[in-house]
Amino acid sequence: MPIAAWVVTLDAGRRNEALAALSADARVTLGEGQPFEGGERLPVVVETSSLADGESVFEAVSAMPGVVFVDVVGVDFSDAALDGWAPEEQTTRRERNDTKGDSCRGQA
Amino acid sequence: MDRRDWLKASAMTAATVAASRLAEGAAKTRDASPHKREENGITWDKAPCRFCGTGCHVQVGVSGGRVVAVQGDASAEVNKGLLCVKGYHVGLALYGKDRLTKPLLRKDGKLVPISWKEAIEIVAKRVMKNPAGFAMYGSGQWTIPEGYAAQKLIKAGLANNQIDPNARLCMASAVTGFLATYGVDEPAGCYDDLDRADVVVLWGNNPAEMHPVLFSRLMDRRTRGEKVLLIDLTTRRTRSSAFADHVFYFKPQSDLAIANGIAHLLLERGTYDKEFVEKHAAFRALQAASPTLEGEAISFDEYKKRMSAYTPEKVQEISGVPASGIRLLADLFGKRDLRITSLWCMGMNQHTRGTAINALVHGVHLLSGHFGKPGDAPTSLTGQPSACGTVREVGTLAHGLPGGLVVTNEKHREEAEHIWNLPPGRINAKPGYHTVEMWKRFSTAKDKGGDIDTIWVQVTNPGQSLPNVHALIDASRKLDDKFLIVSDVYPTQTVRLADLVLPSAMWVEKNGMVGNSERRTQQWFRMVDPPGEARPDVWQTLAVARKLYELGHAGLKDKDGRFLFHIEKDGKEVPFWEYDHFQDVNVDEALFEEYRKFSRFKHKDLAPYSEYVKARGMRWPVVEQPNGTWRETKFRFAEFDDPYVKKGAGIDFYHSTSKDGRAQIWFHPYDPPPESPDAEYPFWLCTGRVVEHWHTGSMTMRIPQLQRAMPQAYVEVNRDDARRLGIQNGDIVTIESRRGKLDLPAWIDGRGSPPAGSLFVPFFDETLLINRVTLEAHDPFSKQPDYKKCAVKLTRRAVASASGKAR
Repeated sequence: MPIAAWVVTLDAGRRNEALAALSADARVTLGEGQPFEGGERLPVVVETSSLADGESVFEAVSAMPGVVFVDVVGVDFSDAALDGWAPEEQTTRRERNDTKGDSCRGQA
Repeated sequence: MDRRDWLKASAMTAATVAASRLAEGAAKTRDASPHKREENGITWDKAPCRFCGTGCHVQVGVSGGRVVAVQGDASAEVNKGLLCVKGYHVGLALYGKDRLTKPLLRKDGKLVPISWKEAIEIVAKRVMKNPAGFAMYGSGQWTIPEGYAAQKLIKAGLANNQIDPNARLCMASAVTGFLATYGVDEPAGCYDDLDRADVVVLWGNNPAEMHPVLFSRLMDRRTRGEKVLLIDLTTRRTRSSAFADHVFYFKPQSDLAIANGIAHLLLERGTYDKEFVEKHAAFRALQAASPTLEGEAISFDEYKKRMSAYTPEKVQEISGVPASGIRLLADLFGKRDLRITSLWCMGMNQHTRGTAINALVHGVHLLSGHFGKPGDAPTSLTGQPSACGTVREVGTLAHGLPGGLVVTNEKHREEAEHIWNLPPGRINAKPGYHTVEMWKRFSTAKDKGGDIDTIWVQVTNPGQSLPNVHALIDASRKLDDKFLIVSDVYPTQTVRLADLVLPSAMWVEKNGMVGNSERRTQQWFRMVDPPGEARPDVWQTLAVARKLYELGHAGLKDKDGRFLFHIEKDGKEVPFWEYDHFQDVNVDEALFEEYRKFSRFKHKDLAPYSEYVKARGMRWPVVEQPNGTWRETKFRFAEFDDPYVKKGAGIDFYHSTSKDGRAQIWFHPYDPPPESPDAEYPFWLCTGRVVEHWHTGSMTMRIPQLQRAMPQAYVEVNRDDARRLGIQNGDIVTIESRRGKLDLPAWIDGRGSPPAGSLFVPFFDETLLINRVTLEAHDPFSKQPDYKKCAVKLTRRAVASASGKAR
C-alpha cells in the first residue's frame, strides 16, 4: 500500500469544485490549504493499493477541473509488493511484432 | 499510532511543508539539513536523481537494505522539494527482475557466467594484444570519478586517446558553440535565470516533457501572477507549446535563418546594445578555406552586411515563420528593460550545423546585450545527469584532458603529465576517434582500415542509440577479432550484442558525483548493496588498470614506477583493485581530489570533496574565501558574482579567443540540410524522447508504471497526411530511409501534432530501433550527428483491427 505526498495547486475560481471532487475520493486525504494570490496550494496524501493505482489517481487528479497542476513531493513504497518489470512482457511484445511479419527489421 | 498512520502523518507533513514553500514563492529553499538522518527505522540520505541533466536532489529512504521511499529534497535549490514523474520512480529503477548479476562471456554464441577474475583478465589481455586498437565508449551517466578513471587509463595509461562518450551524440555542439563564442565551455548563467526572466525563448526545446521540474518553475511563477512570456520555436507541437504565448513552427534546419533574421533587424533598426557590443564583443566568421572553430575576425560592418540578406520576408521564405514573428522576436530582443533567457537542448545540438546555430543564438544575446544579468542568459540544457560534470569537465572526449585542457596543446599535455606524475611526452598529441568514427572503424574489417578491434562500453547503450546502427555496430558482429565488452545493469540491446558482459552497480549502490546543466557538482554515498556480483564501473576500470600493471604494461606506471592509480591510507598502499578492499578507502574522494587540481586552469575551480558532502551541490567556479568557507558562482563573466572578473570591468570574457576579454559574435549563413525530403522520400523524420522514458528506456522500461504508460514506440503522423495515405490509428506503417526501414503503429497527430509532411518517432524502444533509419551525417566541428531530420517514405503495411491491434 504505497503512500504518496503531493501538492495540488488549485485555481481560485474553481477551488470549491476541485475540493469537492478530491474529497469524493476515499484514497485522498486533504491537508490544510495554503492560499496565494491566484489560488491555493493543497497538501494531500494518497494511499493506494499499488503504485499503478497511485499513477491512475495522479492522472485523474491532474485532469480535474480547478486543478492547475500536481507536484509530487515523495512516495513511500516500503509496504508495496514490487511487481518488478517482467522480462517476459518485452519478449512477448517482440515476438508479437515478429509474428506480424518481421516488423522491426531493418536493412543495412 | 501504528506504522501506517505514522507514514501517512509524515507524508502529510512533507506535503504541507512543500505547499507552504510554494505558496511563499519559488525562491524559498530550506537550509541544508544534515545529509544523513534516521526516522522510524528508515535511513534517509541525499542523492541527485539518476535520470536527466536537471540535477534534482532526492532524499532516498533505505530500510532492510532496500530503497523503500524517495522524497524531493527541500534543501535542494534545483527542485525545492519537488520531483517529476521520473524522480518519483527513481528508487524502483534498481529493482527490475532482470538485473545483471554475474559476468558473462559469449561462448558458442551464448552468454555464460564466468568469474570476475576471469573477466578482468580477458579485458586486460585484449588490451595487451593490441593497445592501440582498444577504445572506451562511455557517457554522461558516468559519474565524475568513473569518467576520470577511464580518462586517465586511456590518456595517461594507454596513451592512445581512444575514448569518447555518448554525449558526443547529445551536447557536443553546445560545447563547440560555447568554445567558439567565449573560448571556454558551459553556460554563464544558471537556473536562477528562470526565476527572473520576463521572456523565455525555447529554441527547438521541450522542457515541459524533458526537464519538467525546470518548466514547472516557470509555470509556478505564472500561477503566482508573474508575467512570463513564453515563445516556442519548434518544428512540431509539444507539451511545452501548450503553455506558450507564441508558437512559431519552422522548417527543419532553418533555425539558423531565424537567428540571423533577429540579428539583422537589431542591426537595421539600431536596437542592438551598442555599448555592450563596443565594450565586450568582436565579430567572427568561418574562413573560406580550411575553416576552424576559431574562425577569422571580421569587422562590424562586414557582419552587418552579411546579415543584411536575412530580411523578415527572406527568413519567412526559408523557415516558414511569418515575418511578423521574426519582427516580434527582434522587438523583444531590442528592449533593454526586459530580461530574456533562451533555452535549448537536442534540437540545436543534434544538428549538422549544431556549432553554427549554438553560436548564432549566443550572438543574438550578445548583440542585444541580454547577457550577464540574472534572467538574461543563453542557456543550453543537457539530457544526462553528468554530461557536464563528467564529459565536459573531466573531458572524456577523444581530444580532451580534464579541466578543459586538450591533447593537441603541448602546454596542456605538460600540465596533465605533471599532475599525473608521468614521464614527459607520455600523453599522445593526436586525438582519438570521435564517436561515429570509432564505431565505423570497429565495424570495418582490419584489412580495410578498421583499426579499432576492442571497445569497452560503460553506462550507455550504443546498440540502440547510435545513428544508423546497422552500419555502425551491427556490422561488427560479423567480423573476425572484433570484441565488444559491455558494463551495464540490465540486458540492453548492446548487452545482447556483447562478447563480454560486466554487471554494474547503479546509482545509490555505489558512491558517486555528477555535474548538472548549471555547473553544479553533486555528491552522494552508497546506500544499498548492488545485487549479486554487480560492481561499480569505477572498480571495474581500476581492476583492469591494475591487471595491466601486473601484466607489465609500461603505461600503467608513473614516472616513479608506482601504479598509475596509487592510493594510500595511513602511509600504506590500499589494494582497492581487490574487491574485498574496495571499501577500505573512499576511491571517489581520492580520484576527485586529484582531478580537481585540473579545475583551476580554466577557472572551473572545484572545492574539496568534503564540501560537496555537506551541500546539495555547488556551482563552479567554487572559490575559497578568506574565512575558509567555499563560495559558488551563479553568474560567470559578470563582476557582481564571478570572482575572476576584474574590478570595474563589469563583464569580462576572461578566456576570450581574441585575447582581449571579448566574446565572439558569429556570422554563419543558412545552408540546406544534407538530406531533405524529395519525390522518393517525401517526409521529414524527427526522433526524440517522451516524458515517460529516459533515453533508450533501459531503466524506465523496467518500471512497471512507466512501461505500462508508454509500452512501445509509435510514429506520429499528421492528420491530413494520414487521410491522404489511408492510414488509421493503430495501423502498422513502414518508415523507410536510404539506410533502413522499420514497421511501427501509427498514431494520428499523437502528442506532437506534427506538421504536414513530417513524422516523429521516440527512440526509447529497443524492439523498434528507429536508429536503423536515421542519418549519421554530423556537424563538422562537434562531430555530433543529426537525429532530428532525415528524409523518409511512409507506407501503410497492415490495418488496425477493431481491438486496436494490427492484422
